[in-house]
Amino acid sequence: MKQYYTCLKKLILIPLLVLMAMSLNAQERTISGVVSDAQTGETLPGANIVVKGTQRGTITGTQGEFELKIPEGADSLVITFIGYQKSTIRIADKSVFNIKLQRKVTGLDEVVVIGYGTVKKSDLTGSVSTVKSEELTKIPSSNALEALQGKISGAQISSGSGEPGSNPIVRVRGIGTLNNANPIYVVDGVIVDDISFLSSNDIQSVELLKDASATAIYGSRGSNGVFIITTKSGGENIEPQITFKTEYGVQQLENKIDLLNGREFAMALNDISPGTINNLDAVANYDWQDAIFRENPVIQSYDLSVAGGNDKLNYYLGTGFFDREGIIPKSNFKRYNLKLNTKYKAKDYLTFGANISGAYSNDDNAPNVVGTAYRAWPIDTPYDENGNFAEVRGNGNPLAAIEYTHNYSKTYRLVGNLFTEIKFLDDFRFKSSYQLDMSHGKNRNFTPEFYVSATQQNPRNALSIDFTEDRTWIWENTINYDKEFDNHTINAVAGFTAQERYFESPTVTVYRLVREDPLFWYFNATLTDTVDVSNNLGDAYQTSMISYLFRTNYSYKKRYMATVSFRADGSSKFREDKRYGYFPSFALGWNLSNEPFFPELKNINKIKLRGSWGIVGNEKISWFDRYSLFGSQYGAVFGDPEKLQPGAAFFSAGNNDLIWESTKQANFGIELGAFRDKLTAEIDYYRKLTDDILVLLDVPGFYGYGSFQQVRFNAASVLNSGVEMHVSYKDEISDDLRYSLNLTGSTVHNEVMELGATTPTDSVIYGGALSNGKRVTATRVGESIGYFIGYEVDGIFQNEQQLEQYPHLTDQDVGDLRYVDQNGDGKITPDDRVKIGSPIPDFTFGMGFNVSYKGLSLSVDLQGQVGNELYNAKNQTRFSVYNFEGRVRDRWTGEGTSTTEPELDGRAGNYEESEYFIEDGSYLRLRTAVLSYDLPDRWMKGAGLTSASLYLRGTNILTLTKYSGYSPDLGGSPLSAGIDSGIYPITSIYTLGLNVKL
Amino acid sequence: MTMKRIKIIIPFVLLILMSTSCEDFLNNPPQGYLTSGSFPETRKDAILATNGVYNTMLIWNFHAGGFPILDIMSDEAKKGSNPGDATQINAFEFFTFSSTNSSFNRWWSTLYQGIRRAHVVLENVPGIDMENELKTRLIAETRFLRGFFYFKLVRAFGDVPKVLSTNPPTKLPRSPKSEIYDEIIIPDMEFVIENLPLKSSYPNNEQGRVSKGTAKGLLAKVYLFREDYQNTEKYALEVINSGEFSLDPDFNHVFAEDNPFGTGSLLEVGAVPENNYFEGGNQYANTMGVRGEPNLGWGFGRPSWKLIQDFGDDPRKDATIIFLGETLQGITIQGDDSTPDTTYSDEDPNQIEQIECYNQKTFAAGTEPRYTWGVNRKLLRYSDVLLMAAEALNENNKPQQALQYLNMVRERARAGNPDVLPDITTTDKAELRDIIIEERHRELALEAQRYWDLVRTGKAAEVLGPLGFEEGKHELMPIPQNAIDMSEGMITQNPGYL
Repeated sequence: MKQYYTCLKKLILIPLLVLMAMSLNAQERTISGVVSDAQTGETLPGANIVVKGTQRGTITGTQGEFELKIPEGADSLVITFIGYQKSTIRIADKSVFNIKLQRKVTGLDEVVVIGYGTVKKSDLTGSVSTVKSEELTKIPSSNALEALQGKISGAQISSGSGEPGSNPIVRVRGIGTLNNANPIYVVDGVIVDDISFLSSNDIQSVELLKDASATAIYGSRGSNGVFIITTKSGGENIEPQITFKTEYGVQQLENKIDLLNGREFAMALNDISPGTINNLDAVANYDWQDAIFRENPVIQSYDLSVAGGNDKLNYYLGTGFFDREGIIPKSNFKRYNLKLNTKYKAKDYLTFGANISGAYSNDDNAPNVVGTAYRAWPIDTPYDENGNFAEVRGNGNPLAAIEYTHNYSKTYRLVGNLFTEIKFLDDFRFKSSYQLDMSHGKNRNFTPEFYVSATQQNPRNALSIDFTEDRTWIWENTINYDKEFDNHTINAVAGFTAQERYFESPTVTVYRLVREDPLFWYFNATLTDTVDVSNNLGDAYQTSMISYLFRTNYSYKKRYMATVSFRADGSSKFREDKRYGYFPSFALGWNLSNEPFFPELKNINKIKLRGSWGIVGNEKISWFDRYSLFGSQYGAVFGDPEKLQPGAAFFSAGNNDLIWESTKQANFGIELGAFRDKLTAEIDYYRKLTDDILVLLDVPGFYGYGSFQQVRFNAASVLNSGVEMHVSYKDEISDDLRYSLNLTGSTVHNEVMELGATTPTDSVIYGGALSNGKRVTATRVGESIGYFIGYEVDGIFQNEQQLEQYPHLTDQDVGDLRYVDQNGDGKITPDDRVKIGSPIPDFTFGMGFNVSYKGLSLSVDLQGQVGNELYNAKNQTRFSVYNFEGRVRDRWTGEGTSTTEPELDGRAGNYEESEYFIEDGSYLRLRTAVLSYDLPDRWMKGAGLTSASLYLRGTNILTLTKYSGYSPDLGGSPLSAGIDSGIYPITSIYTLGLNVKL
Repeated sequence: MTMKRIKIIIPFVLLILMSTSCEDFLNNPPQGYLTSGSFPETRKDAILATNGVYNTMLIWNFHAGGFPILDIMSDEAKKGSNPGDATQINAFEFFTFSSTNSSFNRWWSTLYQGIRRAHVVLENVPGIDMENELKTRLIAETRFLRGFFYFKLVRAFGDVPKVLSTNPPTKLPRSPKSEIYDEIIIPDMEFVIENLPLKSSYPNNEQGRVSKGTAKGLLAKVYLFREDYQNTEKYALEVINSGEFSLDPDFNHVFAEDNPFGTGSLLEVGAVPENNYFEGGNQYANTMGVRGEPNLGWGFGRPSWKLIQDFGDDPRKDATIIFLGETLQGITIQGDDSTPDTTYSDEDPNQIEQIECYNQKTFAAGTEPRYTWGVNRKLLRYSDVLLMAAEALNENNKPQQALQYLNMVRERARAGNPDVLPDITTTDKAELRDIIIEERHRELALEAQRYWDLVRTGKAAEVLGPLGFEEGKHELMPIPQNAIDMSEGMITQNPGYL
């Protein structure tokens, strides 16, 4: 692998160096040309043209024409004109220039990408947030979404695991469902479930569609929000722009968990059973966290792209390499990616093109030793006197676990589309697009034969390979109608789409390979005929969907806007007569500030009001939820000698009456601009009611479905409502000194309105199952989804008298936690468990500050959330004696010694689900700080570059939180969010970056 | 191409697109799975479906929810494992469990799961075109299992919902226990007795399937629980006189791995050493396997100090209990680090409460957990039938005959040592009754028999009272709380439970 990697670096660097070395050697000469508006073609008199890096320049004449003598070695021209974007053009050996300037877009004149089209921001009636490319590359990550944390109102993005290659957890506008709550992503029109195949550097912009007016065009997939990702493209008549970007950095653990040291732990053992350790001074003191975490693992990336175009063809080509070592050895992620966007105008009325992304990723997976290290006894050391792995009490030897795990995944992913666009009847456009999302993966897991201890051993080596094939195609056909006449503007789209997904993933395991060397990690090398083909994974499925869609935007005099959209989706996941779902939406907008009667206010220059209502759906259920299936692996053992005879029995129980889950959403928004749009604000209020939520529920045991079999029902209603705001202030104190401030914030109120009314089920859904089988979340009418339940704690039993006086569990004694008998029946029973917290924050927010002076700029982003709790499950799930958290230092050791921290007595009564394990999940994080420096133009000239900048960046620099674990932003599925069972820590990252444009 | 042409073409293209048949496109039948309606439909399917019913007994939860709670509730075992593990099981040691304890729901649901699997066979196999002999046998095997599952249900829960098809009504009340006996269990067993072959007529590779003798033995037990001693006597003697079964001379050999479906086995769950149930593993045995070193299991259902005392000099003690330091088939038992070797009573520090020891009836030689998954579970043994015969004969005033069968069991247990377990000679009915129950205690220790024996003979309050047993309550298990909740009150709770 190493060779490939060095090879790739060479491949990128060599052409770059060649390009850099090329210096122009021309004599002084005269060039000429015309400057015009890129959109209208109108010539621009009075535009300023300067040879870059010199004082030499001129101004265009009345027809936009110019003539200019350029010195030897002149590299490029800089063209500026009021109201237009500054443009830099390479001179090369050209002498006639046809220069087109793009109009500067500010605030409400921006174009926003919405589903199946674009709309001017001023005409937008829905709630859409936009984030531009420069924000997306601020976080060194394999997934651009990480960079959106705190940047986008209405979206709660949690890093979750810090494992390299893992994806963040995204929730848009609360949690609207009890099943899959992930949003969808539309990459250049292709609907996908994640964007891990994209390099952040290839992304132009991300728009988040939030309200029903915006998402209803995606119908059955819109209810969890829609991210529209637009990748970079070339442009008409643009000189090739070559960009190279590289980053190199190191990572560090942000904080360690406070655990007992050897001596303290020995004392704790003596508390549990007196006399266990006689000489406290003789015990070892080993820090298992230091043992499993690497120092300064590297993170690096290289991206090279070229964009350009002529009259007919425009193109963008990008390639990149991302490499991250995990903080735990053997967890690494590497991705090589390619991006090609191209568009060819064959005739005036005919265009075709392709947007293609390819990625190959290599993911090495370490075992989850975070929990193992947490549990390991600090008085045990990893190696014996012979240097072999020693038994480590607790949960095994973490270093041995790392050593004996070999788990590698390789994934090839291709996402893209081929499209053609035909203009007809002046205002119509027909577009046909064929889209593909293909992924082929292979996971290879080898476990050698080893023996560390009775509980940590593997007597026969084993090799498992898991093959995954996942492909989706979508064929979209749309007709757009765009017309402006008099005071009316109409944009309409109608279309038909079909899609099919095929998935297959068999797993095969063989035992006893002849050698343990990687060269033998193939099925061939097995010595036995024992081959296991894993039962549940060897299946395949195919799902399909057909959709009809329609939308029209209408605007009158730029004052009154209306949008109507409709989508019908038919899905194979539902029975024939329940197959179609219908998703309409309506919206109105009013640009109050465009009214003639709107006064010329000094401060406020813009007010826009908008409101929408619509229905969207969620169809993220399994293909088999409607079927009752038989599995053919339910055999029985007969005969002497005994042999397994095959058998078949019900494998799952389906519900053929399922219908679409649907969300009715109303939204009201206000957009303000003040001080000539220096200050802009956007505030939205939404109310989302999701009905017929598709949820897996228990069924009565006598149905005979089995004890863990759940059946999917349309069984709940959930309300989410909240306010979101985005405020930004930008100002230029002088040409050289600029600054800006951004603020986003969102509130969520989440409430279950109905549960199981039409189903044979209980009025509560328990979730958050821990490894000890305890379920620590409940979902009930009137409460938020997945709140934590457990016993309320009101102190410690200080003496026998109290123990007699208060109800307690049978195995509780003096010194243990005193649980509250909520129902007053004189006993502590599961009925006494109450709500002890909620993983849903009341408020999530982000803040950004940028200041730049000449070539130097500083940008700082903060992000956080308040009002949620976390469940410290790793502290609760104890199957035997493990190391303890630092809090036990203040434990009860006799009457009056503590009222919060129980005695260590080896009894189980303190490890029931209770407030004791609840912690405050609020945090404020210094997410990024970037100091960047644009190298002076005069240096550029000699190097033949247009621009270059260097930057120094810190990510996750500091987190202010009361939480005792590694990271407070845990995420999780709706019914098990905010539970820390030993999460892979996220890291602080310090990087040095270089950005070069040719 | 001119504009005009395009104008003409477009509507046609659209028309073609819109008119493709969508409904076919949206039909995606499951791939790689049988679905109800397409299974079972052939001779081979009939065998598969029947084996699928047997497979229920390999499901962990089939055995009282997976943990050996019946042994733990009796005086034979304690929770086991280490003190901090699976503390919800403590509730069975102290009789503090309630209807929300998940063991009940898992147990109840899995028994009904087996019943549903049986109904797949009973609903579909009669219509399959195949040889009658095999068809009848499969149906009879299935009816045995259905009846057996119902027997386990009524014994544990009393009155239960009566489900007779794969698609029961969405809500069902409990039916009286007597109705389940009279309409399902007894007719099922009678049908089986009439239609199943003898154990000896199964070929070697089909040993382990239920036979005529299995049904007679179980019917004897059913009648014993109904205190119908005439019928218990009848069916137990039919088993004894059939000549199909005998006592293995070596008590140790009964539980040996190389002795599956042996000479004294009437009903036994076959297992192979694979650590999941669909490959034929028996997790219930692993649950009781030695914890620590060798790592053979979780170590639940620790033999109680009382059981050790009750054995006295009975040689079956060593065959039933694994003590620390013992070497079995070359493997020295060292046990678990986080379990105290000896636990003393809180009240009296000199009084041993329990010692670390394990159930030897589920032992398998080996050093990794997989091996105990290969241990068969014996559900009905010939010695049990002999003791049932003895008990019924005593109740029917035939003590001499009773003594004959009781002493057969004691003689085998004696293993040739004339100094222990002398023949019983008393013919005093009450005395003999007690002796037989205590003989069952030692012969069938840790086989989940003791609790029900104490309950059905009315001795539970006396023996288990000090452990927390309440008369009038704990004779039955609580109906799982969620079964009650989901029925919206149609299903009621057993007396004494909330």
